[in-house]
Amino acid sequence: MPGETTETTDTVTTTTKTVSVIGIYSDSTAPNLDASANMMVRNNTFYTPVKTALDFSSLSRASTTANSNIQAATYLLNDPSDITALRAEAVNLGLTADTYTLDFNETTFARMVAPLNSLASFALIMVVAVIIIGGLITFLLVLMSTRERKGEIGILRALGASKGKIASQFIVETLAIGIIALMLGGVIGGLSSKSVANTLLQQQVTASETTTTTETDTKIQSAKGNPQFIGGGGGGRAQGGGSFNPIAQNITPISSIEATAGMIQLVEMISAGLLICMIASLSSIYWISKAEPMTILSNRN
Amino acid sequence: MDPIIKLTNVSYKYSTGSATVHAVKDANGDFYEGKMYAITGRSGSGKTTIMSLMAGLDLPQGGDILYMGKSILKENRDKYRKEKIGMIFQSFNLLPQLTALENVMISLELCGYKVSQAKTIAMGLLLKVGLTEENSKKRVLKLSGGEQQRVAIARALGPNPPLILADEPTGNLDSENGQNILEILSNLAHVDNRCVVIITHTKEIANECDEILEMKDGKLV
Repeated sequence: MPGETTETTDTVTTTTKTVSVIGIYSDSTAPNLDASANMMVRNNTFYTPVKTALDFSSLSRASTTANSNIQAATYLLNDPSDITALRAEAVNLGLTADTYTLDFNETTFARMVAPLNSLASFALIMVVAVIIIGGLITFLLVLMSTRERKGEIGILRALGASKGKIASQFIVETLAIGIIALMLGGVIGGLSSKSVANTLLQQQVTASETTTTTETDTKIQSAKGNPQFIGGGGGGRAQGGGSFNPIAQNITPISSIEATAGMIQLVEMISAGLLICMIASLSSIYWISKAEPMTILSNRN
Repeated sequence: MDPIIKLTNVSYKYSTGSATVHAVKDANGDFYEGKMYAITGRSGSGKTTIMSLMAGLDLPQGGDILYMGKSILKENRDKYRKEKIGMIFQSFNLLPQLTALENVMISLELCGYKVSQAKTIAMGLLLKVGLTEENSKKRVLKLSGGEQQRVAIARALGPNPPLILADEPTGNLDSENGQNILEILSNLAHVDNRCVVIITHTKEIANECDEILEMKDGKLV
C-alpha cells in the first residue's frame, strides 16, 4: 500500500533493497495476457526512480540471466519541447545507440493534442474570416448610413460645421456602437465560449478517432498480409517496438478545455473591434470630404 | 454707412453636359442693415445661385463679395457661415430626428456655446418667433410647416448675425403662415436692425420689402 515500506530481494545475488511504495497506478485497459514474456505484461510493471533501477541493474550485472537487466526506462515529460534536452542529456550520460535504443514517443503527445491543434487552426481561420467579412460588412453599413444621412451632413455644413467636425462626429458614433457591440459580444462570448469550444473540440476528437480507426484497420489488413509487422524490431528491448509501449497504446485525446479569455485575448479582441470601426469610419470620412453643402441641399430640395 | 454685404462684378457659371450656363454675370449690389431686400426673377435666373454665393456655400469665379468691407474669398467660409450669416430655406432643412429646441441649439453649439447656455438662448429665440415652450420639445416633423419655418428662423438667429439670407421662406407655406413669417423677417430688419435678403418669385412678398432687385441675364437690376 502507498506509504508502506517493503523489502525486495535480488534473487540472483540475494542482496536486499528497501523501497517505499508511494502510489499504485490504476490501469483500466485490458491486461496484455497474450504477451510472450512476463515483463511484457503491464500488470507486472512498476515504476522507480532511475537510481533504484540502476541499483538493481548493477546488482544483477554479474548475472547471466538476461531478463534481470533493465530492459527499458520510460520518462514522462510535461512538455514535448523538453525532448531535445532529454535526448542531449541521455547521450551525455553515455546512453548511446550501441547500448540502448533511444526512442522518443512524440506521437503520443501529438495524438493527445491533435484535436486541440485542429480546433486552434479552425478558430484562427474563423477569427480571420470574421475580421475580414465583419470589417467589410461594417464598412458598407457605415457607408450606406453616411449616404442616407447626406441631408444632415449638408445642413450641418450649411450651418458652418467643418468637415473635420462632422467626420469626428461620425467616427465617435461608429466607435460608440462598436464599443457597445464589443461589450455585448464579450458577455455573450464569455458565457458561451466554454460550451461552444468543448462542442467543437468533441467534434474534432470524433473526427480524429474516426481517422485513427481507419488507419488501424488499414494496418491490420497489412499485418495479415505481412506477419512480421507486429513486434518487428522489438527484440529484447521493450522500447524498440512501438506496439509494446503501454502509454502509447492508451491515448486519450484532450476532449475538454476551460476556454476563457485572458487579458491578452481581451486586448486583442478590443483592438480588432476598434480597428474594424476605424476602417469602417474611413468610408464616412471619404464621403464627408466630398460633400458640398450646396449640391446636397439642392438635390434634397 | 457701409453696406453689410457688397457684390462687385460677381460671376458664376456652371456646365450642364456640353452647355455652359452663366448663372451670374457681373452682378453688383449693396445691402444695408435695417432693410429688407427682395431678389426676384424667373425660374433659373440665378437667384438661388447668387444667394449661395452670398452665403459662402460656393465661391464666385469672378468679382468679389465684401462682408463688412472684407472679402469673403479670403475668409474661412465655415466660420463665415457659422457666425456671420443666418440662412433660411424653402424646405426648412431642419434635422428631423431632433426637437425644435435641439435644432436651434445646434447653431449655437457650433459657435462654441455650452449646452446649458445654448438651451437658454435657443428657448428665448423660439419664444421670440412665436413658438410655445410645449412645441419646442416636439420633434420638428410633429410641427406644422409654419412652425417648422419659425424654428428655422430661430436657428438662423442663433449666432446673432447681422445678415439673414432667406431662400423662398414662404414657398412651402399657406398664405396666412407666409404672412406671419414675413412679419417676423420684417421685424428682424426694421426692429432688430439686421439686413434681410429674401429670394422670391412672388410679387406680393417682394412688395413687402424695402427694395426689390431683379435677376436678369445674370445681373442684379
